[in-house]
Amino acid sequence: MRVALALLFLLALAVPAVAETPRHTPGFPDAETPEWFAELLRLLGDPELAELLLQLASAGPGSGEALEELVRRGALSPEQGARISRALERPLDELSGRVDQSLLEQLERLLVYGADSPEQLGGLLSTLLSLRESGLLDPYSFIAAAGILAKAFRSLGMEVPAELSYGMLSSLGELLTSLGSGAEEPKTGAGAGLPRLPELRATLPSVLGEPGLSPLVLLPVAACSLLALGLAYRYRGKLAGLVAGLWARLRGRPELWTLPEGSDPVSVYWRSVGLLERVTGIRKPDHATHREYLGSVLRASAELGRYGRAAEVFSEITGLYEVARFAGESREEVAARARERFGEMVESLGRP
Amino acid sequence: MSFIKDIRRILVDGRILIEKEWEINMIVACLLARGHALIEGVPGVAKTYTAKSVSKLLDLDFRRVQMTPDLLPSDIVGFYVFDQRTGEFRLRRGPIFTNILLADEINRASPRTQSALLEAMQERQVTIEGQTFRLEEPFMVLATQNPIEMEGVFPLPEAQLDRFLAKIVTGYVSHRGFVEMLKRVYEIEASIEELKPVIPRSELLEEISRSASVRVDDSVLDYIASVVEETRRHPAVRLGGSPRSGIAVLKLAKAWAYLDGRSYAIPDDVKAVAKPALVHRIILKPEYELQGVTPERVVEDVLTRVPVPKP
Repeated sequence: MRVALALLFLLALAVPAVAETPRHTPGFPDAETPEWFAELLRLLGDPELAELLLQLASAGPGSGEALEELVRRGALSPEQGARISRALERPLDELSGRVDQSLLEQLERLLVYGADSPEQLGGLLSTLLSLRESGLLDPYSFIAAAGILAKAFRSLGMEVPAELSYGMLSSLGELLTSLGSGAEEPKTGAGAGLPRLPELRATLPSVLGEPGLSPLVLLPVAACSLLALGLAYRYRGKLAGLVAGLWARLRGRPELWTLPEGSDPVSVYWRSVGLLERVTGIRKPDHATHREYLGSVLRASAELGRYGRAAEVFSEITGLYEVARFAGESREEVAARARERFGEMVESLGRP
Repeated sequence: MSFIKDIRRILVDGRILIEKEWEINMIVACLLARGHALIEGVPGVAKTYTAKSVSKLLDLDFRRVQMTPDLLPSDIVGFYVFDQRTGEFRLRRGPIFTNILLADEINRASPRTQSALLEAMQERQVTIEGQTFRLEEPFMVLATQNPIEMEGVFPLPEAQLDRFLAKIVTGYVSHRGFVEMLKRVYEIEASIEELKPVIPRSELLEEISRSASVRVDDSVLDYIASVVEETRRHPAVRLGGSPRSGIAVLKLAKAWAYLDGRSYAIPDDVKAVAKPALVHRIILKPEYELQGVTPERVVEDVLTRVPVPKP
């Protein structure tokens, strides 16, 4: 009890420390990663380039010309231009293998048949933005997917939403930075071979990623671990049983079909119950007596027209259990008979 | 143990008492457990016939008292009268000096008379003018009451209800049983009059003694205690089962096992007798009573909550 109180006290100290650690909201520029943002600002600083960039970001009919113009003016390298152009012209080819299959199918349908309703497009936009924010969609894939979505919006006679344009712009910025630095894949996001888990630092308080953790955080973590180890040691027997049970379950509980040497009628009965529960699916509730359970087995057997012989043998095992358990009958011949009946039951149920 | 088979054969298989097997078993179980039974049912559901038939088959004296508000305790236990010929007071024994006393409509008697009867039930003796008389064994009171009647009755207080080992609630027969009864009404009446004992009194006393030695495993005792304790914890209950009610469950479970031909009790016996042994000892909270919750439902609920002995 005293140990638990001490742990609670340490945790109470640690909580404010954790709360005060800096956090990063996914989807917003991180103060530590301004490279792509700076690149974008540089391009947007020139009014003419900004106009071309916005035209490109709208993924509209003139985006191809805007891209060519950007390359011609030296704002983008030919390699950057070619890559963006590929993403906008053959989006499905570029997305294949990079996004989730269901998303790819949705986008494909959108490209082939067009949009059914603005709500459908709104839902898809939210999906894309959330994937992008969580880092599961790299900027290159986002540009390709956003291009499809922007066309769909326009086909319904709607303006391209500002969120989509912003997402496109930020992805362009990221892509330009990554291509400029010579890297094959973008710095953030999942990159090739989706899906990939987002980086831990992007979704959790940055306390775990900070070098030199505060002792106020480390101490309760260590104390909790010690407590968990202590409890595990204290209840090691139960844990071992639990693990053994789970392991047996995973292996299909073959031990249910066999009996340990010299089993008494009580063990035989419970092994039989376990076997019947497993094979027939008739559960024995805790409040049901052995006779009530036998009744439900016999009824089920009659209704299903199956397990007749097993139910008959189980009836005898139940009787032997009853005299052994409640009448104090401990003769070996009773136990031997119970074991014999169990063998018959196993045979009638069809040993695997 | 063949006497219960004979009783079933004559009364149940012989269609003298139609669809009353459970009531017959419960009355005999109460007798084996040396307890008394309160039979509750509306008028005309064969409460008196059942009690009378069982007592006739068991070769026991049977008396019936119709309880009324003006009945005095002395009308039941007896009194001394002055004999002018001998010049002495002579005891005139009341109907309580019998083996099976049917106290019909017990809730119509005044509380004073009820108390006199219930005292005799508990002590198995009566005191008249300072002299104590032991009642002959076996002694059993079968009291009946009508649950519908509200006027001119004195409902039994909880402490007095607690004296009854079991409350046997009996109801109407099915349509089929009813038609059969109508067909054979004269035959049934005549058959009851012609009933002959199936067991001598001395043997019955031995059976009573043997039924008390039924083996009850510790796990079954634990189960009984858990069931009774759970009635106290039930959210709808204001007053749950007392230790005496646990003893009642135990005695009835042993008798039930004996009637089934076993020398040991099992959890099924406890389940079978829990309702009659407990329902009249449970007091519900008024708000639950208004919602239609009954003690029977509470006991059923408790039996589905308490796990049976394992392994």
